[in-house]
Amino acid sequence: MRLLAIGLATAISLSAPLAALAQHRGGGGGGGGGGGGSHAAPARASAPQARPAAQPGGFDLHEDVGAPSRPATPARVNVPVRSNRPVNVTHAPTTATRPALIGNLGYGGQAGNHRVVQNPRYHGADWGWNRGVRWNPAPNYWGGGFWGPFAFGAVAAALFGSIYYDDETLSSYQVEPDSPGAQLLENYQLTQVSCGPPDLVVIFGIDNSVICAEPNDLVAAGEYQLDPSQLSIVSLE
Amino acid sequence: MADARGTAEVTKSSGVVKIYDGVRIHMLGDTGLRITSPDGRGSLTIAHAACSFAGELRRCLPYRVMLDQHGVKHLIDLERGTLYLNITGGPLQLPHSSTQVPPHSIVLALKTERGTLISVTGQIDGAPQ
Repeated sequence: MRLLAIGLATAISLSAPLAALAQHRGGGGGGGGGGGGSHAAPARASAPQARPAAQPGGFDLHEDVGAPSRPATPARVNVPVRSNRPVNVTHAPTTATRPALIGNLGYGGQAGNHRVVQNPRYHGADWGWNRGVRWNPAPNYWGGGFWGPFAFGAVAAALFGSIYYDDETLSSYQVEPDSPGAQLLENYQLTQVSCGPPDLVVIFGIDNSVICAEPNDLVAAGEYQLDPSQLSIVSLE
Repeated sequence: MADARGTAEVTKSSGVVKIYDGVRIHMLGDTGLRITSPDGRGSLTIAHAACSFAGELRRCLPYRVMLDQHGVKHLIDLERGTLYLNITGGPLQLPHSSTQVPPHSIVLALKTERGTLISVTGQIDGAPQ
């Protein structure tokens, strides 16, 4: 089981923003508290800093308990800070005036008079694309994790251009394979490109995320809002 | 499945590692998960996550983890993490990896705001509640 754990943890570090996991293997020693049935790896690290006294039993996570208070839901960041990756933007981003987004869309809301571009693959019940399991955004992640497991502040995805509107910059990042967003693009036969040039398909997603693609026979150039419940897009024009 | 168990590993930012063999893993609904320490005195509950499917493998991005220990609940500030759930009867391939997730098993890796790394592997020994 230990070998399996090591292997799988390493594998996760490759497919998710947890590269530090594999790098921290092999330490050990003491830790205080601890729990029944557990055993500590050989000592290596220096003594832990002063912390609240731990009771025996359970998980030794007392350093993570009573952490500096902060909201249960992390503060939203409109534009995640990423760097150290190639930026494949060679043109100036366009300035766009984004139409007002449609309220409640994607969570049982109605598109009203806006034109829905039906997903060519999925019709019918909400969340059918996700085997009926409701998809809830995770606020720690850019776009709620819809486009991939890119944590805010983590260097995990290549920048794919940006859009300016209303004195605000929205950065676009490369969609991760196997993400819901990748499924959306595949269903519409869209290929992601850098945001910035005119006459693109611009899809506004969750938490101020934005993705751009070349138009095709299924989706004309223009601005769209994501409807995650139907894995569809709704025209904002 | 009654005797199924898993292994949890807690690596602190200081480098201290603690390994817990024999944790119990229960599913809570479609996306939730509870991991109970071998002595039953502590449990980690993941109740909020964004879950989608990579093939038949369920992949969740948790954003809230609760530690219930000695009768007191504590919210663990989570930086990021990924949970893979295989609720099928056969092994499934982990995306972008040569690793397979065994039937009825999970692979979980979390990093807390304090820099603690928590990884869990093992079989699910509780049906969805």
